[in-house]
Amino acid sequence: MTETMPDITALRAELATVACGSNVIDRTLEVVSIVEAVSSPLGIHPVVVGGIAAYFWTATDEFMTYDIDVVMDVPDELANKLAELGFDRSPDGRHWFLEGSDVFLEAPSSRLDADAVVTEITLGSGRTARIVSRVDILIDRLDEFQATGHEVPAQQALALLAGLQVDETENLEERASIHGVATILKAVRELADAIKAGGAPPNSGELHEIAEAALQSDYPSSSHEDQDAHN
Amino acid sequence: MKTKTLTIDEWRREAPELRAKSERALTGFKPPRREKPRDPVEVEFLRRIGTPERLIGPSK
Repeated sequence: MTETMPDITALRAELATVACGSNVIDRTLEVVSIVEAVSSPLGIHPVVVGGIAAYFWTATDEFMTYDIDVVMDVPDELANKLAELGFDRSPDGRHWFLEGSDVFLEAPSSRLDADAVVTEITLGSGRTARIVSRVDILIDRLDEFQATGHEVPAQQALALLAGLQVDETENLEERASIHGVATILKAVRELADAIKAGGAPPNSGELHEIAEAALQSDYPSSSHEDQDAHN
Repeated sequence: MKTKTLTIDEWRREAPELRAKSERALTGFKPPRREKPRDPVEVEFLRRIGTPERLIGPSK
């Protein structure tokens, strides 16, 4: 079935309204749902990833972020539609700004992992927006923590782990080794148990040591210095 | 790729429990400061809209 392109003028007006919403989750998902409305007739379905996904799946204000990372292809036809909606594209082609609002989209890549799980959320407007699953963003944060030792992905991994449902835990077990995060997952679980037992949280140096040990275990010839050189 | 479904109202109902679990898991931690560098174009925009420096982090 071929979808027809929706009324861009009406969507542009709607976008201007939802982009000024004060709730970051509502604003983000409604904006992405409008991008979905113009991209789905082209067979393109944006999926929210990154910090907003971590914020969504933990509901923790300390992780709030204002940039919206979406995975999607942006062929010229979609770029033209985004411009018609009111988005300005940055010279590097990766960033989209909505003038007069706090909305800022980045399309860092066009493909999700083949085994990714996506959640489609039905919004108050009746439109839908897609976001990577809690397990997918947890795997991503574990990978980033292992590679960098940084405290943001470490804390996000702990919080995401705490919110896992039974079926999600099974999915994580199946995929952790495939994605090279089994060792860091074990280390983060041990850290979660230690905190639950009343232990003090690790400082930044200790987080780096935990990540470095996991990295060395899985990739003996690698180090954070090597990873930093790649970033 | 598998797709699950959720409504925003279901998420709102679950959010307080999610938040509580997250707070327990992060007992004793300070709010994290971003260490991963961002593109300068992002840094400029986030500063312009008043984002706290803790969330912006360093520029590439």
